[in-house]
Amino acid sequence: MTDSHEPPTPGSESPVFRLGLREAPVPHGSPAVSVPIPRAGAAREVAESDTPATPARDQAPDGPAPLAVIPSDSTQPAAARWPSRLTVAALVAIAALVVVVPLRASSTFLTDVTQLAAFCLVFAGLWLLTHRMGLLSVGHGALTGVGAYAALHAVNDFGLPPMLMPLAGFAAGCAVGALLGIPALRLPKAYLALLTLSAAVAFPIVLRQLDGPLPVTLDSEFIAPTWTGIAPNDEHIWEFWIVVAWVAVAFWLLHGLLTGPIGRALVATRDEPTAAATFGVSVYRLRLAGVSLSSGLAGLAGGLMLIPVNFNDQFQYPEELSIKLFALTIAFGSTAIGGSRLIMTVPAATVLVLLPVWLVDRPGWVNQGGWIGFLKSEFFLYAALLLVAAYARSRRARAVRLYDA
Amino acid sequence: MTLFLQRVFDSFANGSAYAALAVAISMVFRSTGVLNLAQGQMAMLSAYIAVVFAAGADPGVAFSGWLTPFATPWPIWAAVAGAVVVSAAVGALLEYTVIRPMRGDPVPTIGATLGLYLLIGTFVVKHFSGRQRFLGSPFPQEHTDRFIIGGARLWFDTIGLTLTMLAAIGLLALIQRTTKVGLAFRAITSNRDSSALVGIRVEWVVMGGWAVAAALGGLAGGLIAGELNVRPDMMERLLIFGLAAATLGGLRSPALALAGGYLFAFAETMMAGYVGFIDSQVTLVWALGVLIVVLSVRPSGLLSRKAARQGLRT
Repeated sequence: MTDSHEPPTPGSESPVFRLGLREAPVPHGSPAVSVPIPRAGAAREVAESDTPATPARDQAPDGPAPLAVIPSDSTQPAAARWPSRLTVAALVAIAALVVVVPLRASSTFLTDVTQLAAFCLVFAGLWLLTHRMGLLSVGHGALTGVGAYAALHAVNDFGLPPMLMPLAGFAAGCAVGALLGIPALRLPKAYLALLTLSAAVAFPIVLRQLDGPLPVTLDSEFIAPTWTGIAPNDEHIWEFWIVVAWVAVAFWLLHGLLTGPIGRALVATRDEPTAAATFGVSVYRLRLAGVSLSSGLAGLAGGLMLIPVNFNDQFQYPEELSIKLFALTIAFGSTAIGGSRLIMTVPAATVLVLLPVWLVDRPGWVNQGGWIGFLKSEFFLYAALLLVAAYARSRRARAVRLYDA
Repeated sequence: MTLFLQRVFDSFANGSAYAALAVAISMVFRSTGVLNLAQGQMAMLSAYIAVVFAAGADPGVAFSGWLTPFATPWPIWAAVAGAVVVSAAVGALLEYTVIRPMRGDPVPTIGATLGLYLLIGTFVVKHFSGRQRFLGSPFPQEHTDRFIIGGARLWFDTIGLTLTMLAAIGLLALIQRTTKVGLAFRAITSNRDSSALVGIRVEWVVMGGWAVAAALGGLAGGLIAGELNVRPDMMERLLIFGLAAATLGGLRSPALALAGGYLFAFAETMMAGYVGFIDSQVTLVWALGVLIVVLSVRPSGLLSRKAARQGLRT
């Protein structure tokens, strides 16, 4: 490794610098070495990165073997990157919609959209876990419920200001995620799926034991300040803005985290855990932190969910919700709709929240039995989506493996 | 002492079902590395298939019209046997059409098993209206059909169920140890690539493994239906206990999975019987707690540390 404190020039940086990881300790007197990072899985990173897929071997066709394939935007210091005009335009449009839509929409629709915004955070956690870390969770619905439970009781029993209750949900989600991750991450990936599915099935039972069979209401209301000009009967507008503000901040922090060294290290633990360990990354601890963060985001969303819904009970977070969340994460992370980008959270949450709303207006569709009813049922749609997405993902992974070979 | 003995006897039936599911899960995981989360739903489907056979050509039961040539309701043992055969075929079909195309990639494969979980559950709800059905047991169930041992009642039904499941699992172990097919199965669980190189038709053996696992789960579903009513969620709890039991063997040891099934059933019955604040529903949570503790203390189950070493590499 170089001892120079000057930033390396492009093309001469060490693989450690390029990965953005902590340098592995080098024994005193060891010669400076550059360890080529194996190519396996690297093309997948390119395929799933936020940048156009250009394999590194194409970038340096005549040079030595590339040390690592890093998305081009990831190699630049964060401060030097400016959002594109398209991104700025999209952000301005979203901000305008956030301000204008609540003033026009019905309270029912706005409540749905508020939940949709909160579910975006759950999907962000699942996206981080599944697409960035290559791990599996079938229990994020239960983790959302854990967050809702913790947030509700933090306000009702411990007097936490209601504006801060999502933080209690975040903390609870992190803690439960770590509890599940500590044993599961030392074993093959299937164990995390196993434990989270068990947690998803057990959660409604636990909640019924803790809170009883009836819903528990939040002992607080969200009254809009007078300067907002929101009428007392339109508090759902204020609730929407609170939730959107929390979600925006969480996404901003998450995006910053994932585009930095930690984000690249997480990807390294997915594609090349051995190489990552060689470069000084504690794979187990980083995965544990990732699982905990992912669960924390679900918990945060659970806390936010209380803002429009205002109560919590055992029927809100069944295991089917966890499976739906997983299905949509796989589906929208594998197709062209969102690729493996964080933006996939929006269409996924839209389907999750608005599909049942759409189906409620079609009782003939929902209640029909037999083969036709089977083909029209919500769960059939989810199952078909999951199977098709899983097949597409396996085909793509195989293509990448063949390409790497 | 009588009460204790009674609770031990009561745990046999559930323990047999947990053990069968755990062994089925272990078999599939050993041969393909796939954690089949749809194993419980496949067993539930088998119970419904047994209901169809046992109903004869009853217009109130979906698909029973297909049995018009056999309009007479089948005896329950024949219905269960028929369901086991159909389950085996369904298991092989699912492996061929759904699992094999995933080529062992863990995320899509687990996604596919969850897809099957939803698909089978929805299929049953839509075709059987989600209503409970009564199947009955192939073993004597009259109130006099019992032994009295130490003042506790041991029902013929429980004995029959337990012995049948143990016989099925034992037969499976015997086949694995003494036949060429079993040898091929053991070979691919040990080294899949080398097995292919020596001429074993790996894909056929894996498909056979899925068929046998589905048949075993189907047998559990058909027999336990005599204890529980047949309903879409009848296997949810059983799946979790089955997964927990399979974990005791690191998902790779059928013998420890078998022992784990009976152990969890025993612990469940004792906790529900002796610990005041734990009812039968909450025992599921305790199973989850035990699972976490076991995995924390012995990450690779009670068998070996090999899986733990593989953990970070996968």
